[in-house]
Amino acid sequence: MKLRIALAAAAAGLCATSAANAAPASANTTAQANIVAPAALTATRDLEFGTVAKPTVGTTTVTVASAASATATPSVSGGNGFVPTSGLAHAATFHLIGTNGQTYSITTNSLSFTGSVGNLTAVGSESPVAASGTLLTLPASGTDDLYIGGHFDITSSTAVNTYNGTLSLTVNFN
Amino acid sequence: MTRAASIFAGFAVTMAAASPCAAANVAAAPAHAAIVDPATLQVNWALAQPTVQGIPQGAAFVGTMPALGLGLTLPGQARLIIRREDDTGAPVTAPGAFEVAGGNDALIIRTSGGATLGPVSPRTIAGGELIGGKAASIDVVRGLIRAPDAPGLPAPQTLVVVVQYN
Repeated sequence: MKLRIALAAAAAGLCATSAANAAPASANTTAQANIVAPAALTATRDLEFGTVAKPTVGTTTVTVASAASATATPSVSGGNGFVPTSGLAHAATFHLIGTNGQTYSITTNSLSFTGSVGNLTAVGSESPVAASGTLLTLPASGTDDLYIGGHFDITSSTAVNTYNGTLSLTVNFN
Repeated sequence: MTRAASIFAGFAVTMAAASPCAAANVAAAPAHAAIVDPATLQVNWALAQPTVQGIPQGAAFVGTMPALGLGLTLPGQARLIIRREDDTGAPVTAPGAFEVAGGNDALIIRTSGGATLGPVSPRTIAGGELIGGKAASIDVVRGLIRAPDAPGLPAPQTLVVVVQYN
């Protein structure tokens, strides 16, 4: 109740002041505005696995590492699948624009392929790697690149096809 | 400090902590993966009798060369590795020809110079004596090769043969 009275009194005081004080009065103060570019995130390079020969036995895990190389070769483990031609793969690249030392968090980092059901299993993305500075903090330049690879499993029953998908990334700038 | 003042002060602190506001930025990068069938090899090796070894990535021919003629069908991975075991200094030769079979088609790959290879890329396959090395590996794959002018779209099946001298 005391609070309501205080607020009401303050409001009444303001109204009384504007109504009764007709004499002009002026005062100067300083104002500052720091204009910065809006933080931005753009995908600048696809995630490419290249060509992989599927195994005749076992399950082969195919992994593209999170790295800068534009001519990488996926690593394969398990089964007897193999990469017939090296140097055709590369991780995706996302470009970050912010301010010096700005921190950010990654809330979504997911990989999916169209038509992967029954063909590509255990589909997922790799942990991001920052091109410069520390992950989750922009360097002095205010910009950085994130490299993100991916992985999936294939077997002898995987359909021969070119699979297209999407690597989605969500970044929250602080 | 009155209660009203303390409320206003708390509100100000809260606003200060929330500034600058967090903004979510979303981006998506396309992803591609071409899965192909491994092919099989029929190797006709006129002057060699290597030992055939199963290896995780295919089959390896390891032995003393040259020797007797040989013809083998290798199911599974189309990677042919030729490696010399002895140390006599005699030349090591690649097979004169081998057959690649996969899907509904088959193709004879001749490693002799001047052979016409058909739809093979790269078209030049070194054959005969292995120059400057004691081993070679040959990778063969049949699959979908993405057209350079239409990334992401499958092109007609293309046979790719890669010879790498070690």
